[in-house]
Amino acid sequence: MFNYNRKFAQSQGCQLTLSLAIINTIMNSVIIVHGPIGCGASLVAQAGISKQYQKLRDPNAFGLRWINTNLDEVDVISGGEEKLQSAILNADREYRPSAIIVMNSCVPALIGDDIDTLISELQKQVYAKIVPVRCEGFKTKIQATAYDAVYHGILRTLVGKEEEDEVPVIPYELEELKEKYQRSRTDEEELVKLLRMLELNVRILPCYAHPDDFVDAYETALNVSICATHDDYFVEHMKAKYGVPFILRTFPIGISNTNKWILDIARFFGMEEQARKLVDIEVAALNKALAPYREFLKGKTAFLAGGEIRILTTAELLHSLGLEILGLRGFHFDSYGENLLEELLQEVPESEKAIINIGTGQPFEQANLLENSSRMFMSDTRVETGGPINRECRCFLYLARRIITWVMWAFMKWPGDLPVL
Amino acid sequence: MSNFIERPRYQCALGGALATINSIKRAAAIVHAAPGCASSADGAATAGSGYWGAGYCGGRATPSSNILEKEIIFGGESRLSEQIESTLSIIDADLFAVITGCMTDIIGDDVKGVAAEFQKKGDPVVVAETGGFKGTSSKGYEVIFEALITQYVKKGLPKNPRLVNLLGLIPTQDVFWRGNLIELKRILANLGLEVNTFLTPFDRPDSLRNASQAALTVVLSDVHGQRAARVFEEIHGVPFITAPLPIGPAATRGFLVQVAGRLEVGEKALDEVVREENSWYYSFMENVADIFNDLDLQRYAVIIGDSNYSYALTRFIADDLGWIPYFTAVTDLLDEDEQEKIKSRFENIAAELRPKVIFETDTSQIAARLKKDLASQANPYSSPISPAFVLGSTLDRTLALENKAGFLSVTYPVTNRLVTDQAYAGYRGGVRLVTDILSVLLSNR
Repeated sequence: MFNYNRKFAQSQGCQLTLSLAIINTIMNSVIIVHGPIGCGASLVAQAGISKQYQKLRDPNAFGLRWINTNLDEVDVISGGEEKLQSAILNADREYRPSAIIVMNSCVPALIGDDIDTLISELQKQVYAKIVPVRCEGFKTKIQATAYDAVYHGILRTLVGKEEEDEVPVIPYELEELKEKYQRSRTDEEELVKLLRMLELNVRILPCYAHPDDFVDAYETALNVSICATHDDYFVEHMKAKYGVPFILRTFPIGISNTNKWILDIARFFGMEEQARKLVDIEVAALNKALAPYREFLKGKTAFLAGGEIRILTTAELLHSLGLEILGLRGFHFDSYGENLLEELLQEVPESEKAIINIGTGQPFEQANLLENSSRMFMSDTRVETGGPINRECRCFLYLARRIITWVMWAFMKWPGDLPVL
Repeated sequence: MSNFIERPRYQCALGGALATINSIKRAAAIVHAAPGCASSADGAATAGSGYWGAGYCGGRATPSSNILEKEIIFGGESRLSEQIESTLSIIDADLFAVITGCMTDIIGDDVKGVAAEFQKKGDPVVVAETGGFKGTSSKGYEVIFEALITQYVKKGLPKNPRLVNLLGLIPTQDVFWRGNLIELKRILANLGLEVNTFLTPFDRPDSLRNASQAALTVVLSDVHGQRAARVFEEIHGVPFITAPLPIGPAATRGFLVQVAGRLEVGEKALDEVVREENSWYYSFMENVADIFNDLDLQRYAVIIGDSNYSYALTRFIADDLGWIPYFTAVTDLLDEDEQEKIKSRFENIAAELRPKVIFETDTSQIAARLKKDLASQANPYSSPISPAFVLGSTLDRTLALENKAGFLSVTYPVTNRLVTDQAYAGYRGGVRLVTDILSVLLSNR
């Protein structure tokens, strides 16, 4: 049976913190966190490094700029709109950014600040596009709702050209790719490389995109997501409003899922044969390179924690490397996860034995699962891969390399006869 | 009316209270707030303080009621009660602090009433309303200390004439709070004093429980900890003095003289400690002088930090390092009285070495105001700060680059280095600061 409410809960990310993780990558923009001084305080973690990450895409990037409206006791009673107004005007005047992204936190939502009216009035006075993001933390325990909140703001303000009434789709020309994870330029390059081999043009949204990159986003022939948790709101909207088809099936992690991902795209463009050749060549090379690791990893066990799409695809990858999956722990679970779980059960029937548990954060619950599993107690080879994979590994070859490295580290030994990856 | 703040250098009241509780070993917070509050605050605290880390039940392990729309409409008291009960049974700690976020403060949950049910049963629970809109980390530090002093510290204990409480360094907001407290405790112990630092990894809640035995509270800040010290005095009769965070031999000697003057420390013992500590400091400096002079490592200093560090660093630069402090920005949100207090501190620095002092909360405005000042002094043959060195936070690295200045991150947030037991306070802290500053200038050799 399902138990939806916890008597003992631990803190977790909220909509605002995850929204900021996406928004802090947007180039040439200023973020305004509309709330008390602590909301968005964790941006300091990115402040020192964001410039370098942005510079990987644009050498003139400024890095992260943000303003907090510093709502205090007086504002809680008399409203925070004035402060938001002065913050927006200041951001426009001081920095001349392309976009000013207003993140609405719990307090203004509860006290009833009318940010819509304010923003539509101010939009007439400022150069930057103002993007409102409604990401109040108290609204959901599913942190991933942040993706919808962010896309809702972007789609309503940055996509589309006002003067055009016809939608000029350029078939076979543009391929659009959603890149979920902020930091991995390496993954971007890997996925772009694979699609270029199919002679497709690729544009990457939303992370590290410039606000202007969204304007003609509807001109694409196909939207391809690498994570349904992240992108379903965006691709469904683009389909409903602009008729842009999309592919949202899986995450290109590991051989099986990367193959599916490439072949789905190729099928759309009628290039299946070409894609099969590409897949065959890549897979053959990869299998050869992986052979010694498979030998070493055979029979080891793993417990996976992370986003639903990521853990289910990574489970297939680890299984293909010879590991047994003891448990899967997702931040949340929905129909996209259900589909992938079905695919996983078909490909790896023994996954049925794995423990499945859902929770955003809740580290003690996870510790309990590991502790209470007698099979895991008996195993001296357990590995919990949620952390590092969430932060670093991305896709196919690169990801395979990174995952193997971590798995090997987890087992605390690197056989002398295997090459260091 | 307060204004917006561009790239602020502090957290909210909840953040300050949470960092304070998390730095007390075997204390656990129970955060009654929306889902993201505790982990966001802890993220800011841990990343901004040179990667302190979450520990046993900080970060995403922080017990939290994670209230949602339902509680906001119907009230969150029963959810809090449930969370306190489950936390008491699951978390292994000696002290539990219920602290709140904006939402629960606005909807008016009677958190004190809920906590009182547990307090009546003898559970070691304290409670404080720390909604983020009430102020910055500094406010949170005051409020949680006030709660601890009134609800947890034992009343009516006999006084120990040699026991001192140290207040005024906010964990993580003072990135080096652990090292600083440990160093000051070491020096005061040499004077024959016992010291309660409360917030280092080697302290236990017991020292807090018995802190009313102290003969004196020393507040290491003109701003932070002042209210907590007053509460100590009112409730437990512990008087207090304000002695700003001392860095290096000049300031630390003044600090010791001030503390010794209030306690039964003989002049001879004081002189002996100062002599020994000075000897330790200069044993290293004597040799550093070679490279300092050979490479002409003199610089003009730009100092950016909170009310504690802006003055403490400036004084060290002027009185011990022998550089010229040119420009000091105080980044705290301060009222006029507090600004006056800080301003008058700078009068302790010799007039010819006294920097221009500004009060500015906005990161880009600090750079803009420095630029404006420099432009007003423009001279085709020299810049008033060349060669320059910036002591500030990681947020000030761009300012340093623009001025072709050396740069060391000292004040919150510090994200470009790992901070563990380093101290800048006291004598050994002074040696460490000289070492770190000059190492920056040598790092390309």
